Amino acid sequence: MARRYDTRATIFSPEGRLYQVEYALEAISHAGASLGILAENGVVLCGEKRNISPLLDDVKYSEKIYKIHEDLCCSVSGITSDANILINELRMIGQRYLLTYQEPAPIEYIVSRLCNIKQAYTQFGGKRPFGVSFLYMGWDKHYGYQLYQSDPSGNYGGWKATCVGHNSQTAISILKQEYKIGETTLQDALRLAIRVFSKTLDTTKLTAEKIEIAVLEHDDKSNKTTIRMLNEQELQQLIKQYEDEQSKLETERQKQQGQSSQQQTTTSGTTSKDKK
Amino acid sequence: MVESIIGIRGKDFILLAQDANTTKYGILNMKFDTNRLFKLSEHCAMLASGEPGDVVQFAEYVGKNIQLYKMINGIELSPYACANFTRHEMAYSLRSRNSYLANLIIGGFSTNDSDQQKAQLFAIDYLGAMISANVVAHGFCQFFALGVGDKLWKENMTLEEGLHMLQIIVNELGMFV
Repeated sequence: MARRYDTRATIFSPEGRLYQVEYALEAISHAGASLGILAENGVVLCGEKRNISPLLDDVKYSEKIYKIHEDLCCSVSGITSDANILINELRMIGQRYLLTYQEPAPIEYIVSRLCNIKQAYTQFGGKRPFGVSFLYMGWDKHYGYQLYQSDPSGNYGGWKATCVGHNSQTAISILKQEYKIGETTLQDALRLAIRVFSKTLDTTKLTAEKIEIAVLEHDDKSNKTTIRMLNEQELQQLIKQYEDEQSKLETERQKQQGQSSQQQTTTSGTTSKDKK
Repeated sequence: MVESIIGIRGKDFILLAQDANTTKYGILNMKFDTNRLFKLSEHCAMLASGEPGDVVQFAEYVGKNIQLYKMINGIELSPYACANFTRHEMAYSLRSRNSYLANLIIGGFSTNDSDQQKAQLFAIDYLGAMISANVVAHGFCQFFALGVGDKLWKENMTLEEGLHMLQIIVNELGMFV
């Protein structure tokens, strides 16, 4: 039934759906996850790496996280080649603004402009939409730290914490429970990110080579923003912290279980005594 | 280039003064109450002098575009950004079929906390050159205003001192304020 209406991106189906856009979102739900968390003193972006073959050349670039301009960074989920085109466009938008106004572009301006381009591919031209969702983290002087998400339909929204890509629903439900609005520091955000990823990644054990984490902080005094990728040591430290916490919780749980089973044996002992 | 416009930057204000006459053919005074002040945003204004048609056309174009930015993006442009945008448009139009013979002064007050200097003053000439200074002027009064400004301007000027400086400049021009 849908087959008749999905060959062209730019037409509606009888139920009022845009199938190509939905198919693009489906493609993204199979891609490596991206996670973003807004903290009181910074923003964190994490990506699940899919290309971890030992044969890969050690080029000094990031697979999922890209810098757009001095105060803006984004993480990619979806078709990488589509993403490269859009990242180029994002950088151009930022630079054109800088050329005209001689000051850095507000984050929402850049996101909104790119989303207008993405929307055009869902309405005219006869071309397919881009199969990428972005998570943007940035700082500007109007609204401070910000986190945005955009998808192939051209919709975008501001978030406190969100996830796109593989197992994103699981991640979002964990975030809903565990993210504390107004009380999350950068360290809390990093720990939360590791916790979420260890539950949503397909692998049984989280290792440093499977994830990428970037942190954005703005220093008010010098008015400079720093965006940095965590190196392998820092990632391993965070993972180890998480694993230590988990094993502690596990031992406590086992202790409690042991206590409760002991209680059970004593009660059964008394009843048998009574019976006699 | 007879009509004069002057801008003076004070401690927490900008003083913008303009000549309200419009003259033609060098001898005829057509109008005594010309308005050369164009509002760019809530905290930023622009004085424009030069070819009468170009002045209004360019000033309104810039002013409305800045209003449009506010409508689209929900935030107001800082005076620095307004001035750079204006200069960009002037420089762009100069290298096209339609150039504008308009000299501008843009003054504003930045409401953003991260700006160190709150009162900002810029001058842009018809060739798209922009400077930021404490005293700026276009037109015949340029010769007097900048000299008086050099002598009398000081850091953290009050409004009275600014008006006093303006009075001296205007007296040099032989005009009534």
